[in-house]
Amino acid sequence: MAYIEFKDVVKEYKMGEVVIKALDSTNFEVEKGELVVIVGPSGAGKTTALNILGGMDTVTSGTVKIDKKEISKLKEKELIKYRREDIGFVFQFYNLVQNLTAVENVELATQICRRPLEPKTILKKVGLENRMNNFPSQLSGGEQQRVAIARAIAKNPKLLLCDEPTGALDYKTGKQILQLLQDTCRKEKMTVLIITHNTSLTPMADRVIHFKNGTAYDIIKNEHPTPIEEIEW
Amino acid sequence: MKKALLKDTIKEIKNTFKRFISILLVVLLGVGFFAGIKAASPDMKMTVDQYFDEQKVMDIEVISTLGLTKDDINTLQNVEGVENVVSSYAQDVIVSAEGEDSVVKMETITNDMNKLKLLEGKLPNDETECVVEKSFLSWTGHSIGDTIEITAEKVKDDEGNEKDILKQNKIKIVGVVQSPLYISRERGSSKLGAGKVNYYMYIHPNAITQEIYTNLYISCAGASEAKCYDKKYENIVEDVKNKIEEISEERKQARYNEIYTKAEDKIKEAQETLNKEEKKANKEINDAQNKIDDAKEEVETGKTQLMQNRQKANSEFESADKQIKEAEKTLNSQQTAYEKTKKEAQKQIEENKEQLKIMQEQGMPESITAPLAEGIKKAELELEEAEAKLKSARQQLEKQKKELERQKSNTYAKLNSVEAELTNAEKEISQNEKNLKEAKKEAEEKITDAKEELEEAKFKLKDIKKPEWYILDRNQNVGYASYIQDTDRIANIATVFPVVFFVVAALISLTSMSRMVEEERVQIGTLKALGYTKLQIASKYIIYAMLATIIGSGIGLAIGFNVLPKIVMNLYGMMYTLPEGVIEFNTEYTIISVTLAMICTVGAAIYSCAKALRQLPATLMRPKAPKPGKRVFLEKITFIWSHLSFTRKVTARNIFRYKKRFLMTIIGVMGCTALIVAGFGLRDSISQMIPSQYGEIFKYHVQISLKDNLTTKQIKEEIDKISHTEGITEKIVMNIQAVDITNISNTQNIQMMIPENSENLSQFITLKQRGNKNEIYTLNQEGVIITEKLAKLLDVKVGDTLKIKNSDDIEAEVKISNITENYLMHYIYMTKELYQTVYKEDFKPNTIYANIENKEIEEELGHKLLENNKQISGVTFTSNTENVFSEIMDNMNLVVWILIISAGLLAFVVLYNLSNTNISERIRELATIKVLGFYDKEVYDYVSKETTLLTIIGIIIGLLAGYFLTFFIVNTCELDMMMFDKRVNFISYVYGVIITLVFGTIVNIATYFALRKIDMIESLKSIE
Repeated sequence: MAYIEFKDVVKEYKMGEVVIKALDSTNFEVEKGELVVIVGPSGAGKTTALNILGGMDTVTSGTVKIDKKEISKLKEKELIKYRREDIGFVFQFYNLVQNLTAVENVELATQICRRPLEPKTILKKVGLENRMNNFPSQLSGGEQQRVAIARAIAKNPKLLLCDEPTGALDYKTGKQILQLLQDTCRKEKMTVLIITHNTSLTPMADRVIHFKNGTAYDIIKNEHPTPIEEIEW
Repeated sequence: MKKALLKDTIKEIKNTFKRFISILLVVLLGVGFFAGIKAASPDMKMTVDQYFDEQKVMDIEVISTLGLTKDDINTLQNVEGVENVVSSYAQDVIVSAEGEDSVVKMETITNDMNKLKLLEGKLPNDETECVVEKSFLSWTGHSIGDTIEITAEKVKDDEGNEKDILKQNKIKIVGVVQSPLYISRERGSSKLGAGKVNYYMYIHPNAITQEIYTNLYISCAGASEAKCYDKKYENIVEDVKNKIEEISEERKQARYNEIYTKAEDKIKEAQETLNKEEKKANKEINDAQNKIDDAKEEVETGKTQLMQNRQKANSEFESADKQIKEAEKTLNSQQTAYEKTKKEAQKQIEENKEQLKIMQEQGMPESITAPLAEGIKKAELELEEAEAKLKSARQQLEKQKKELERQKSNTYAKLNSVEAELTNAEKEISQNEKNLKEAKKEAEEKITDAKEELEEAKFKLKDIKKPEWYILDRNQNVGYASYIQDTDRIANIATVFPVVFFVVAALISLTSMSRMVEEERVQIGTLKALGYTKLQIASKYIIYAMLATIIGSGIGLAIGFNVLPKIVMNLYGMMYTLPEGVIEFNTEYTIISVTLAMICTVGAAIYSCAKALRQLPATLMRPKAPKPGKRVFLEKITFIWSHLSFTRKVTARNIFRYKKRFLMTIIGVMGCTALIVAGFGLRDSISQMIPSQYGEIFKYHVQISLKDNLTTKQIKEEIDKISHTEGITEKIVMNIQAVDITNISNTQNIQMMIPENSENLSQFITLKQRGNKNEIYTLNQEGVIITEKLAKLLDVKVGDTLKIKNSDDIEAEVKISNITENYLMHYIYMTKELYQTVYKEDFKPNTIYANIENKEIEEELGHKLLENNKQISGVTFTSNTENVFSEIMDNMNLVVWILIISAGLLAFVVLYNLSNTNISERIRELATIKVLGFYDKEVYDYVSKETTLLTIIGIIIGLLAGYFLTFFIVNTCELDMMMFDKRVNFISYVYGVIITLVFGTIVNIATYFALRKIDMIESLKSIE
């Protein structure tokens, strides 16, 4: 059994009279410790899938299992617990709390989970040992995203979900961030899912899931992923 | 404005309905409160103006110290600006009901002026009928149809004769009226009874025997058209007053002359009569004296004659006695001689007889014996003859003697009777003399008295002063003046109160609008890039703010104008007798309040837009750099900071980050707490007043008033009797009188309290400094002790001097030795000795304060006192007075509720708005922490800690502000006759905290649900 199972998942949104199908019987599986890249054009349903995986949204039908836990059946409170303990989330716009310093932003996450990693150690790992006490506004975009990643992995989650983590960054910084994510996956044996619309990133993944019109139409397993520094786009 | 923009505006309102509502609500509160409370004062004034116009209340009242005449009326009628002049006669009288005396102001009904409002029954038709005020019936237990007995002091007419004022003193009550002259409960002071008028009553003009009037009421032309509290009205009346003042000199002189001449004539006449009477009396006395003298003379002559007659009789009888004695003597000597002769003769005869015998024996012849015998016979005969002669002579003498005796007794009897007659006459004369003497003395006394009186009258004539005219207007009407004062007081409150609301409104609008503009930066930038002008773009927000303001103002005005003045008027209606309040749409306050609201909201919109519109479209379309985090001073104290959890750290940083919100919340919450504390504080201040006054200050249980005009002896007896009444434990004898202090601007009711024994006063009345439990003031010779509020009104302090006019209108200066705690009415305490020294008057008790065994016997004791002691005019138990005041005070609770409700609304609006802004502004952050896996409770804590902290700060400042606000409100609400016991009880602070927290909690619960609804997807959106 795969680590993540996404089976016949349907997600519908009601916008007044109109029903929009964001996901239409989507199926895919992910193994533990894989670096997965989900690609597809805007509106293909990749974010919806990520939201459901992150416990931020529920399914209309179908089952989602992560590490044998069927999250599609979880109640609201259980979903929060799931988010709290099993999920690390990296946002496109970092979503750091402006009023907290880098280390505090990490601590914000670690204070609520059972077996967190030491925030300072994590920040050192992401290369921010000298910026720990700076406020987000004093950090560059890349630095902010590093803090965000630190915040996500400090929780020691089962799953690291990243929504366009490089979307707001320049090429070079983006590359560094992706490197960090790849390193995290490899070194920490963490399952990492990255959403992007940039198909040129696919070689870096262990598994690539292509989304189109609300469904995962193509899943490609990449036996030999390319290191990030070798990928150009 | 372009159509698309208008559509956008309307959609905007729909989408941000909460925000729209919170602006609308705060505008509603601000405008409603401001306009409503502000309008209360003019509405109240309007009410009294309309009422006065309807009842044709006089504009000017003229009172003269010597009364007013028909000539005065005629003259005044011709003064320019005078519309109508009517006359009335007023006097304070005593009406007894169930043994209790009330002082009643009796006045004749005036036609077409000061019209009475008939509540029940009918108006009096003639001198047998009267109408009374409602409270007279409810307090005395009388009802329509009852006959009451009126005791009126006699009055002197122009000639100085005492006259009964009423044609009959038993008058039937035929109706209940309401007089527009007495709109407050205050009826004025009186020289009768306890110095206060209790009720008013009206009688038919025919009931009065007098031809002169005490009052003339004047209406001014054009005055009723003007509002009676306006400058215009004042000018009209002032003008006429001045003109009356001008002609008053002449009228006063005329009245003076009239009375003077009458008095003079009367003196002249009296002098003449006196002279005549004196003459007559003198003549009568002289005549009587003459008669007595004549009689005396007669008696004297009678006496002399009597003496002469007696002498004559004496001498005559003496000589007669002598004669008789001589005759007796002669007779006796003749007898003796005769006896001798007889003896000799008898011897001879015997001898002769013997001889004869011998001869006969011898036988001598007859011839010889015959001669002898013959001779014997002859001798015997002769002897017999002589004896007979003697005998008859003696008989004669005896007869004569008897005759003399008879004559003697006759004569003496006669003389004695004459003498007795004379003695009687003498006695009579001396009696007459005595009588005369007395009559003379009497007559002399009478004449002296009459002369003295005349002298006095002459002296008094010199004393007749020119009359004073008091030309008064409505401002001197106690009820009207205090009513207008009260309305001004409300206006004061209305000025300060809504300030809190407007400040909050401005802050709420500012935060809401700037948030809105911030949220729509991109749109603004787009519009700008599309070529819309600044004004066109801003107009959306301006219209948004304007719509909220207009709708809020509309509802606020509708509620404010209708509800608040009514509540205020109802409150005051308990203290004033006025018709249903007039409610008016007040243009002035509408404009002011809506303008203020517009400045707050639209101003905030423009300010927020202007900031954004100044930037380039490109800048606007780029996401706004989030407000940078900042270290706060607290972080420098590492010890504390390192112990804070993250949410606390965020809270601490956020508070300093959003200063506008910080300020708004604190001001709003502070306002809320302050208003609640003030509401309860007001209640504390008021409710504590009565127990303090009756219990702590006035400790006596009962006040017993004596009737007027009792003699010192009667008073003494009565006091003695009262103090021996069962149930009374201790007593103090007092003289209480209503006094005037001339340098006080508005007339105050001041009672002077003079205890007979000032050492005992502390058992009945506590004189002490407020807040100082230990030091008790005692009265002394140095000066008077006055009550606190009086001192405040007069602006005097210990050591200053006061000019006090006592009830006999004697003015004297005294020093203030102390100022004492007191809450109701004004009192001046003075020792008996000081009173006697400064007023040169005797101390005459008229009141007794007493303590009784227990409260249960009150009623029984009251009855007993009134029944057994006919000189008592009233018995008042402190507990009753306390109850009456307590009722009035209960009404004040309404104010407290208004404050609490408005405070709650304020708190609600502020906190709700705060929480709304807080959420919308930080929605991204909140969504993020939700994604991070914060439980609902943790998310809520993350936000609400800030609100809670700000609320706590607001409450703490609010408690302090509430303390000051209480004092401000208390000071402005306070009536002149009372002093509120300014205090805020601890429990009121507790209420302030609890109620604020309750409102806060309601908002927090709403926040909790709003937070739950936040969609985590928000965290994925790009920054706008």
